[in-house]
Amino acid sequence: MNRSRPLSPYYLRLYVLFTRVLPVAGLLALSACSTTGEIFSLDEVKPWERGTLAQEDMQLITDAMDQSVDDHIYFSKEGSKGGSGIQGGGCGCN
Amino acid sequence: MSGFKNKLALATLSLVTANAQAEDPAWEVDTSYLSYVETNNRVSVAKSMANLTRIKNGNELVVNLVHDTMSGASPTGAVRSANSAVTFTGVSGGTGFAAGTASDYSLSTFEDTRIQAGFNLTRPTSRTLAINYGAVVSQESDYDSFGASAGITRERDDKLVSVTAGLSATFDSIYQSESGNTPQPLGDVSQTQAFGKGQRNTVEALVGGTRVLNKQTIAQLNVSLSLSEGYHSDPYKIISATDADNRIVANFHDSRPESRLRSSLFGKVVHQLNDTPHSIHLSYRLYHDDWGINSHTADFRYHRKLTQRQYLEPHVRVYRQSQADFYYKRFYVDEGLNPILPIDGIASSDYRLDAMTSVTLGMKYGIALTKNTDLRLRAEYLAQSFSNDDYDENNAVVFQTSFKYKF
Repeated sequence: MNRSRPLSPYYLRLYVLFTRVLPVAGLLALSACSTTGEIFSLDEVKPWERGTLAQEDMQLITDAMDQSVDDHIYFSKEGSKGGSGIQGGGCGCN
Repeated sequence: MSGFKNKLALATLSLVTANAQAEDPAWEVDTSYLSYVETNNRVSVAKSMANLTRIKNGNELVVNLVHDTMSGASPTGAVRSANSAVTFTGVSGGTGFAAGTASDYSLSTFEDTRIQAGFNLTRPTSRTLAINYGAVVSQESDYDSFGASAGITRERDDKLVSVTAGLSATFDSIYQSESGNTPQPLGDVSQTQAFGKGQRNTVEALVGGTRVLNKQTIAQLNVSLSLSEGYHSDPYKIISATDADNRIVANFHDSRPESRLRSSLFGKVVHQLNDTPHSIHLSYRLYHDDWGINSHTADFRYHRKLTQRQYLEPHVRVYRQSQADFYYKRFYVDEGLNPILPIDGIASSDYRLDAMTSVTLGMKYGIALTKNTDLRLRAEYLAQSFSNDDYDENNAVVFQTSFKYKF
């Protein structure tokens, strides 16, 4: 079994960016505008108050084509699969 | 009082009539064309898709068709070496080896076409209960797949909470395109012994729920399990045994376990930012399987409305996985130049089983051309970094154009 090779400087920078800088910046931004509180506040929503939730961009899957394409690409290029829904249609992907 | 009742009845009737008039068109065609191109002339894929949706009396039928053409060169798993101590005809599955020299077996060229057809039908059986079922069939020169699925969704009376349960079964047939066979797992490539087609059956179960948290937020949580039994190896992948000078002494066929148990936990939140028309989509997946792969996937989309009819959607996705327990970059040899093979006979050098990090950056633009037509353009850049594989990077560019028409 081979040991993991250190990441190249380019990917190290990307790795640091996405695992350190962006989460911290994101958290700061979120707390600054108190979005976290907004998101997770649990309210009783009356039927006539669901106009926003009915909008197309507020659906859990906004674009079935994109979802299907992404599932296929990442299933072909990565070792994981599934999670967001029941999958279908295998391939002998290279 | 009766006058008031009449007025109320009339008002209700006019509301119902207005709703009926404002009802969405019953047919929808969504088409998409995608180009996926890896840098360094690796894999290229052209994908065409069409979804036809029919909605009637609350029932929704979706028929989908997919056509893929794939070509290029894919890493075989062999080490990149200009010096081979052996000569052999190599693996099939393609049109030959593409790497720089005649004795470098690390890339294999291929060309293939895949077609897929499927449907999904959703039927409400009551105000709060809906069932759905579907089937999909896929065919290419070295892979046939058939799958069927069924699910049930129950909403709470106030429709703020829903629970879904789904089950799917997939039956796959795997073989090399030229011979129609699979090679003996961990067999020496120079003395390939052909087995018949590989069969693999998969059952997947998913239980999930959604919850409206407030006027601007909906959340989703899914748990899924998938168990597959049968042939899991890749008939084209090989593993090199090398000597101290990095010369290939022999190559062996891929050999993976006969079963795989995958599990995942998936959470998603969609939220419209306060006092704005813009929304964010955040999701996270925790994945584990009994091959030793653990992964984390975070996905973020920001849907920014430019005007009433146009939007921009930046996208970031970050993925990290650990390597499979039986991932080998290569086999070593003993003093007599005999390859040292794993005792349990399980090994693969497929780069997708290596530890890796994938980062995707994307941008999407959408415009409603008319009330019933919309156009979406998307560009994504995928950068993958592998911990052990000789091909330690894979970068790809994706362009996608989609057009939807309702009538």
